[in-house]
Amino acid sequence: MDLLRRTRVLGQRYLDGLASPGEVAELEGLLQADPVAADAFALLSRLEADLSAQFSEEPYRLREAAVLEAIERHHRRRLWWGRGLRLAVAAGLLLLLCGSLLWWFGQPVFVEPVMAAGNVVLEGEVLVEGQAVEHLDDGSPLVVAGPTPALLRLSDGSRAQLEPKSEAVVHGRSEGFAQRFELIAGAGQFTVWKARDPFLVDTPAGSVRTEDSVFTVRLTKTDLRDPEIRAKQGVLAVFVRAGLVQVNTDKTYRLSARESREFVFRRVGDRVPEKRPASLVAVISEIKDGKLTVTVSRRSSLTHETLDVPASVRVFVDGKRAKRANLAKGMAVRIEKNDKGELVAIAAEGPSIAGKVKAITPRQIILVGRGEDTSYKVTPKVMVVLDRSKPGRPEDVKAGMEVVLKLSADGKTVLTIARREYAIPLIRGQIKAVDLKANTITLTGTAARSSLRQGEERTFTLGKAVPVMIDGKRLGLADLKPGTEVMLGVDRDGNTVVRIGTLIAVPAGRRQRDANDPRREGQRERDGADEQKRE
Amino acid sequence: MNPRDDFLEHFLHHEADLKAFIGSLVPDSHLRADVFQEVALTLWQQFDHYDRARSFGAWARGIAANKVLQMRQRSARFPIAFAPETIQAVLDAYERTECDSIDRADALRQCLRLLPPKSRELLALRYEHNLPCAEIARRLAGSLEAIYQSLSRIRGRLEECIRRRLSLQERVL
Repeated sequence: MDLLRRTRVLGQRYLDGLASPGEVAELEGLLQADPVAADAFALLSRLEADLSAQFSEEPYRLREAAVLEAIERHHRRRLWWGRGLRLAVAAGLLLLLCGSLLWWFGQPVFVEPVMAAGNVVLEGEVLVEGQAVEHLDDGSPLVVAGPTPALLRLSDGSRAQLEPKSEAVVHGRSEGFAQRFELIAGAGQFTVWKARDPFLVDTPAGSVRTEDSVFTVRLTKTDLRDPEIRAKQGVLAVFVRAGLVQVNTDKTYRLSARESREFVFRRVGDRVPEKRPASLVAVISEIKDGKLTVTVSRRSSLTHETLDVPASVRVFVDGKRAKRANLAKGMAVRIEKNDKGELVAIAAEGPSIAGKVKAITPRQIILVGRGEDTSYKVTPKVMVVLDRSKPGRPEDVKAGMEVVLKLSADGKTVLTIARREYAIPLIRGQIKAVDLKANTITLTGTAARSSLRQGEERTFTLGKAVPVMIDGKRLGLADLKPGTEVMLGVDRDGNTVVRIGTLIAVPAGRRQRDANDPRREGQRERDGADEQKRE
Repeated sequence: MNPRDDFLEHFLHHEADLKAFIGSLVPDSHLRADVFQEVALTLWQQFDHYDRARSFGAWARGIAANKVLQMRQRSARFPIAFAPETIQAVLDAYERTECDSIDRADALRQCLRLLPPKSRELLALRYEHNLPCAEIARRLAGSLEAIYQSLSRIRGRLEECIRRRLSLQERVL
């Protein structure tokens, strides 16, 4: 078998999840050795992704095509009536002299059928308080009776197909959503068309929000023997046929076309309200009439929010207290809200720009660019941080240095020049010993998923002036006690310790759960690394 | 054009290709989605640093490759089968074979119409209903090997058809 054909066979098996470790290794060898083989693999993986996308979008496209066809039929019917009517008018005028106009006015005029407003039952049997209904008021609890599913057209134009015995409440427009649909039990398939505001399905286990998709939500109780446990535990399953949805449970997940996920929830009947973030990072896109419009980036989507900014809201610019008038379009801001979702503070900060110094003068710093170099204004008040142990001066910044510039909120002035640090690897473990004479620290690994495996011991060299922060307090190396759980930040050599800190304190119950969940160890290390980078 | 619209225009144009690239490195579909989201966020955050002289697709794939490697470094259990050198080889291959994903999708749609109904049914079972080959074989009362060979032949035909249509398009243009 020639190499190209072999690549295609192995590549397809790999993409189908059928390749053995030996086959994967063989495939890797081919990809590394032969660019033609690598090209073939690239085309294969593209086709795989295109087929998945194609088949997941097709039902959605067919539905859209059916709607368009129905609209077209309705339009043609109107045109036909219009033409017929005009012919009748012309015939009447020709044939009759007097009274022809009266005759024409007396003819029935085609009346465009008016779609019923509100929530309408299109198919199946829906009961409200035991009575079968065809229209649903917002807020009425409903049950789908009978052996067949019920199809509802909701007030925002979306559709819900509910399985028999499903229970729900249609709330209508609510809290920034075009439609809030509360699914209490059972399952439903939802078809949501693009609208200004998103559509929300609220369930006891979490909520699903979308702007334009076709998806299914199913609530089931787990099949456990103990009836008490069974009553308290269930599964929320979400399957997306087309489009994109966001699922909020204890975390936020995004599911795109053909994706599905199941979420276990603990107590049936407990409401899990839609979580509102305590703070948002956004960019000001408009300031008008005392209102602020911001663009918020949430993972792969952008949304806009318009906020009232009352006088009571605290405003900060570049870390200092400021006024609303100091906010300007284009500024990046952190928006703080209280538990009720009310705005309490806005903090504007400038971006951080990383680059290599080309030149620096008392008035400007120039960073090397790919095309053009970029110049930023520097003032005598600029803070320079090249060495964590002591403050620096602008004169210490040299051409060729890799730096990070923190700009003012208006993006014009450099506030801080810091030496660029690459992500510091973090190592978690329990202190076994600190030897100040030998300048070493020995850790025993405690985490299942960490670079220092559980039970493994390793000795690290302590760097110069290592900062130590234990439980929020700055300490010295001599204060470190064996048995303390710490995170070491190590230099790129993987051995020299540059900082020592402790984990963020967590409630005991959650700590126990975290200890049992190997996935959380890795997440905490990642969070720690992000914190280090931010500092 | 404001930065947001500028970014969206670039991103949406390359979204399908970026997903394909990530899919070639990350076999797990749930993890693939997580990686894609992280990459999308990083692209947005670093869009100011995007060099417009360079292909957005190449830049985005570079970031995706780094993201995958970072995840691999953070956790040995992150399921990436490929070594960094292989990832680089795939990255280079994607750059060499880059083409307009919208044209490719259109070509695929047309080529699918030319397939016999049974072939389309087989593809639907695999890609719409997301069934593994073993389950397809069970439902169609065929052998796993026969199903697998059929799928391979269909994919081969589709690839050839797409290639012809795209090259025809180039000649016409």
